[in-house]
Amino acid sequence: MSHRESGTSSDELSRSEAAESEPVPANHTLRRAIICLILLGGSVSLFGILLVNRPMPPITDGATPPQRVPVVKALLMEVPRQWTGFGIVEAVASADVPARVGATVLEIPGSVLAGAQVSAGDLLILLDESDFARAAEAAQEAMLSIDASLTSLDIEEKSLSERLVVLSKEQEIAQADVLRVSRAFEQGVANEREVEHARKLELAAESALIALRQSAMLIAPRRQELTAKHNGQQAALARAQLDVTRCRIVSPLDGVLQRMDLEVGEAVAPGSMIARVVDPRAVEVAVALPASARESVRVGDEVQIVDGDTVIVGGQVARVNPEDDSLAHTMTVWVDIAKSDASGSPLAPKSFVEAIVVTREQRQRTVVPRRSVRGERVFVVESEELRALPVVVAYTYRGEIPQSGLADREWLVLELPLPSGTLVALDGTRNYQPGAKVLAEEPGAGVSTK
Amino acid sequence: MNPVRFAVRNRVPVNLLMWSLVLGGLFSAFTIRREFFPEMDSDSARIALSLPGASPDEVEESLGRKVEDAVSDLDGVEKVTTILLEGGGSVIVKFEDSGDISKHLDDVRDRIELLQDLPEEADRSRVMELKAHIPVIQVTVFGEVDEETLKRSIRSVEDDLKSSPRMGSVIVSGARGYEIRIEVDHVALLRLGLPLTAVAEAVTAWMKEVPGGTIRAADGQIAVRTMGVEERADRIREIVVRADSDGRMWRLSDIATVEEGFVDDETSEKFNGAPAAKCTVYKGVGDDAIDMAQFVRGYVAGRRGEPSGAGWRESIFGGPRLEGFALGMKRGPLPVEIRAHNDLARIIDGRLNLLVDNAFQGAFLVFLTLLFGVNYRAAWWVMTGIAVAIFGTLLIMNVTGVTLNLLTMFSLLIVIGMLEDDAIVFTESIERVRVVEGLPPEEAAVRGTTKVMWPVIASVMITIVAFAPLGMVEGAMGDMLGELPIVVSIALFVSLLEAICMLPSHIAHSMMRIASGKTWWLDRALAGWDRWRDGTAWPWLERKYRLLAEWCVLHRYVTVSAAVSLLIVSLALVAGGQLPFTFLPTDDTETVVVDLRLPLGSSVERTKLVGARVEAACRSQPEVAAVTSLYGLRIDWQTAITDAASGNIAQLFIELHPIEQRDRHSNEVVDSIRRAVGGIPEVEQLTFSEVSGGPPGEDISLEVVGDNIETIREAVALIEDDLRQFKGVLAVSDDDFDAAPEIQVSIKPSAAALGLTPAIVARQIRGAIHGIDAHVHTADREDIDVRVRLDHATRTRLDLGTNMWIVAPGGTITPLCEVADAREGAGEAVVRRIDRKRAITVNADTEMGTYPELVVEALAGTLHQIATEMPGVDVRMAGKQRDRADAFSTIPYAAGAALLLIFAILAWLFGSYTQPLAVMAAIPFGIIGAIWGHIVMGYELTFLSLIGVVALSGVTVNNSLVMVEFVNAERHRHASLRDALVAAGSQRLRAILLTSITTVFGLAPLVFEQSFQARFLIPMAISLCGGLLSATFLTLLLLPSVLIIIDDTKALLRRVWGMPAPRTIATDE
Repeated sequence: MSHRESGTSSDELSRSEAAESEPVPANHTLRRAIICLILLGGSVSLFGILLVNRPMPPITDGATPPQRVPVVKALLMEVPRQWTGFGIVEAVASADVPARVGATVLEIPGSVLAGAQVSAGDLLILLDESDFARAAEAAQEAMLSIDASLTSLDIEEKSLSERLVVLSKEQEIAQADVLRVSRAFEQGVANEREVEHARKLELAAESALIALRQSAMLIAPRRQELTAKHNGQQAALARAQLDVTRCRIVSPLDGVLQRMDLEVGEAVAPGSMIARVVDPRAVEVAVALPASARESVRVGDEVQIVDGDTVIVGGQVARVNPEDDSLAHTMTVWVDIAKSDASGSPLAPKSFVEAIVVTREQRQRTVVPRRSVRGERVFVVESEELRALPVVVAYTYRGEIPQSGLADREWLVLELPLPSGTLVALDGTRNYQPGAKVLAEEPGAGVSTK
Repeated sequence: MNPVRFAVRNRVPVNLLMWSLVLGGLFSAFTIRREFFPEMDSDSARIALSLPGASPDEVEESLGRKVEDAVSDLDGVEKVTTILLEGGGSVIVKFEDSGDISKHLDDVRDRIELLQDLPEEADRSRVMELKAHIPVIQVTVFGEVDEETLKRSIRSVEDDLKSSPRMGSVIVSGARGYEIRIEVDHVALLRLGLPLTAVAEAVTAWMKEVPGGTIRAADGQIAVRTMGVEERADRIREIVVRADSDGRMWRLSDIATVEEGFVDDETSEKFNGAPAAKCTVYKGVGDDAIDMAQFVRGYVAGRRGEPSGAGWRESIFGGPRLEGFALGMKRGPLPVEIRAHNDLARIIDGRLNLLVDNAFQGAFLVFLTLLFGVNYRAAWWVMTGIAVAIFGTLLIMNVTGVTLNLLTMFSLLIVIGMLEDDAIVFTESIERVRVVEGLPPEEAAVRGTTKVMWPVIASVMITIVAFAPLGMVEGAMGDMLGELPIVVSIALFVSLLEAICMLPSHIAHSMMRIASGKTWWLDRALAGWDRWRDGTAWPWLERKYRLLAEWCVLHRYVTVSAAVSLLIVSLALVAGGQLPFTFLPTDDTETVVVDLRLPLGSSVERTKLVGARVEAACRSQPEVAAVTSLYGLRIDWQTAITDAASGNIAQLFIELHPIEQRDRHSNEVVDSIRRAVGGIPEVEQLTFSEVSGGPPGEDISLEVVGDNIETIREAVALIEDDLRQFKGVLAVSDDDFDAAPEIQVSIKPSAAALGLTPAIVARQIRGAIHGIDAHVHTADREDIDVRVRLDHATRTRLDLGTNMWIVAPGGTITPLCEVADAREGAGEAVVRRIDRKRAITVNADTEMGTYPELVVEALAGTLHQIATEMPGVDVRMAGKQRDRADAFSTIPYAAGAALLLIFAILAWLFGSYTQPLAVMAAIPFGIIGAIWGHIVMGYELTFLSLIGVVALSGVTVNNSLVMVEFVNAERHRHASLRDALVAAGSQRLRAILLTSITTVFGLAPLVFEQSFQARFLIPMAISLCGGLLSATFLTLLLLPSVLIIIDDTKALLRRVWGMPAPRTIATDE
């Protein structure tokens, strides 16, 4: 291919070859070298300057804003201790009404039904009294007979005493006669047969006197016996009369007829329970508490009978059982439930209830929300700095503490008190860093606390 | 036979091949699967651990560590991550390659099977593949109706959606399960002296159905079954729990309430404040996200009785929207409101459409540009070649399973500007041969093509090799970018095939028609233009170039120094932070997920209070369309797994108005929400995650691992303190959540006197607090538990652990505090481990305008302090930082390999060791244009910008390659190298400018796109456009200078070593 074809003329080639073959002046070379050095040096310098001064991410103005920590002032107060126990409600006044006589049920008033209100003295059941009435009559007759016997005995006694006088005189005569005869015998006036006869008369009179005296002496025992019989019959009469009255079974107290199991015509045996009357207005609860509550429970402590979170009724500890149940590890207290109005106690006797005994604590203790304790430590804010503080929990408290300003219902009472006014972080659940600068925010400062 | 000659002489098979590619590509365009980002192959296995009732510490000691030790030494294990919660946890094993995940799963299962001395109470560990789930769309039913109606409605929707084969997985949330609750009065229990376990045993015993076998008699067989109590509340109430000797019986109704209802958990869901339940449709492998979303939208429209919203095309040909609409119409209206929202597929569709529009605009600009360089017929055939290449690429993509996603679409967009390069070179060569050598059209086509065929093949290979490093990038970015080089290679290959086999045939045919006088009005209309272009414009341009080139060659050292200085200054702007670098810019999105966590132990009511405040802050933004709130539950939206259920957590899904209806970026909206929420001290964590379909993670994520948890916490505190001092760094948090409050009960020896053992006491405590599942049965497609527990008022008392009473075996009731010690303690809520060490991950978000990379860089001092003072603690990058590190760790090697291959190809082509160096010298100078392009357009550098620079190397080399080929050809006709260079430059000026400008114009619409949709890709386009412009300019002016400098150096060396000068034509002549 020719140059012409390539589009380059020979003149141009010559000019270019000539230009290329011409030596470059030294000052041109120097100038170009300087330009190259300036260009390269300047760019490298600029690279270094920009690298050294490269912008870093902007830092926040001033110090990092402190972390906001919701806190609450640790409360130093007497925090009652709550012991949860269970027990059975018993009516203070109740009676199982037994039958005291064996008889047949004659009548049951129509108003007498289980659950009915009864007053003391109200007729519950009428038993058949006829047997007892007849027994009373028999006793009366017997008494009359005895009275007659006693009267006879009086007459006899009087007669005996008269006869005793006579017989005494006869004996005296007989004795005198014996003396006379004896003197006579001695005198030989009388014979032995006369003496013996006089003596026989004397003996006879003495014997009669003795016999009479014996009869007279028997009057008293006979009188006693009759008197005893009389009394016996009198007692029998009284008994029979009592049995008659007992055939009328009445309510021993005001209350509610809890049970009435009999029907007319049914035979009852003495001692069998025929009804139970309960006065629901006054009840008490035998509450079993943990044995370790003994150290703090006292007579007079407030008790709440609860159903879940609802307090049904209140009461007080009336008595404390001195002995524990070693098997169940419990102690028992009896709780008097406050008397309610005429409508009755809200607690039904024999019901099984849950009770919370609130014991008084004399000591001032620190109480904190449960959520502020985690892993046996709390975080406190001192001088805007966070500090971890180990704590020991004495016991728990459930309920609102209005003075805290929180709606929390679960609290922990610390064994050792914190200084009053200590700011405790509300949420011990946060992984706070001890020593961190923080801003404490108390409830009501726009912080959601629950 | 020469394939070119065959193609030129046989037009029919050539046209048949062309139409096959076009029709196949058209069909593929409508059927190819579409998604947002490429599916990332699963590379992880998940081992689910279960040890009911155990604390996280116990799970760690008795189960977690053993499993870790068993799997850590398997082949290919990259990382072992463990999360342990109460009752169990997960061990995630990540493998280095995702090649054969099933083999890895088998290996893991084998190791688990071999484990011995595991706790007896431990359930069998399950091994499964950990798949990423991308949510596509959500359907919510809501309204002020009862829960049963809501549940039936969402069930109906779930069933309908699952009935379609288009759907991936459908997960329902907000609808509680059923249960039969037996709530026992604890006072009644104590009164009877009956433990709760006895009640549960009674229920179990009475509800059991036991098959009795079959009576086989001569006359037949009959099966016998003992029936249990019917699973109904009224029947269950009659179960006898105790019978006394006096005949008195205690039934369940005497001591408990029995109710049928919903599971008594704390979860609830609301949609814009109304009770709601929703279905979230997740995309699985092989699913088309857009089809799924269209089906769902059609279905919802049908159920609402609204128009289907289908376009004309779907109305004629049918489609998923109409299918869904028909199903919805058939089902009829629901008794509640129904709405489809959080449609991620809409973004996919929008962005793909945007890129298609940009592609057409780019193609039009390319055509106009070509008219400046060649006649309209040649331009037409070049554009035809581009279309054939595109359709052929789509066909091959569809056949090989490559989906149409943001990256592959972008690949096609890039190659539009490159596909015509080879066609332009061939066309220009054919034209030159015909004019200069006066050959007939067919012969000119063959000779012109053959003449430049090998350089073109080499340049295509170089371009393919230049993109190849993208396939070697590791990490999440590598998974995303892996398909880009594949698509580019396919497109270039098809384009080369077209340019060699089809283009010459078509050009020859056109020239024959012109030669035979078969012209038409357009030829005549553009004849003047052709004359002006070829006779005036280009000659003038070539003259000006020649002058400039001569001056540069004459002042070659100054020229090279100036170019190098410009490069150094450009690099200085990046190194000096004047042009910020951010690894991955936060993409605009329409869905934001808010995770809220209060301290563990917080009630759900408290959580709802705080959640309501956050919700109000969200609604205060005009860009917020809807807010879905989930309380008591957290769903990992990436895996669709419920990973937490507790009263202290909440999750809000914020739906923003469509991007095109908003003025503010989602980042700005999130920042506004943060400011509106303000500081809430009791909030443990409040994070905002934008669902964009790309790699997930917070802006800043650091893993702190070690053996001692307390030391790790100290290190975490240091890092967090350091992070908080930066402006624009938000939501600094970590996953070391607060210790769980715990009451630790120890049984006293004296308990034995009552017959109590720790097991008996533990069961009663557990039953009282947690409840006992006495029976389970299946009804209405779900398992329904019969649960026995204490009444609500009792079991929700926090002092229950200390104040409860229990029942001894003999019936004696006793206070727990007398037979056991209870201590308020704290246990770990969650135990996290990485590679068998305890770990805590620190996360933080950044505001717009704050660059995470700079912040992490600024942490260097703190990290050094930790490394020095806490030797047992190791701080590793995670999340996006990890992705960045992975990507940058491999890019140098990949780029180096690509450069070596490029050198080899050039050395083979030129037969020289030094000329390839001169050609490749243009590569760094492409960076100048990339950097200044970003500065001019106002974008920061991103990882995709660097990818663009890497890809640029191949395109840059092509211009230099062809020029050096011509220099070598001209060298034999000129005595002076300088003249050869200038002459070659003049000859190649048109081709070089055309190829560069068409590539730039092909991407220009994307570069100037203002929509947020395209922001993610624009930096890559800027790198390509800007870099190509600067590289082209420097190729034309700098390359001649470099070649002469090389020649000067050779001459100097010859003089020094006394070697003779090389022979030239001038010398010969």
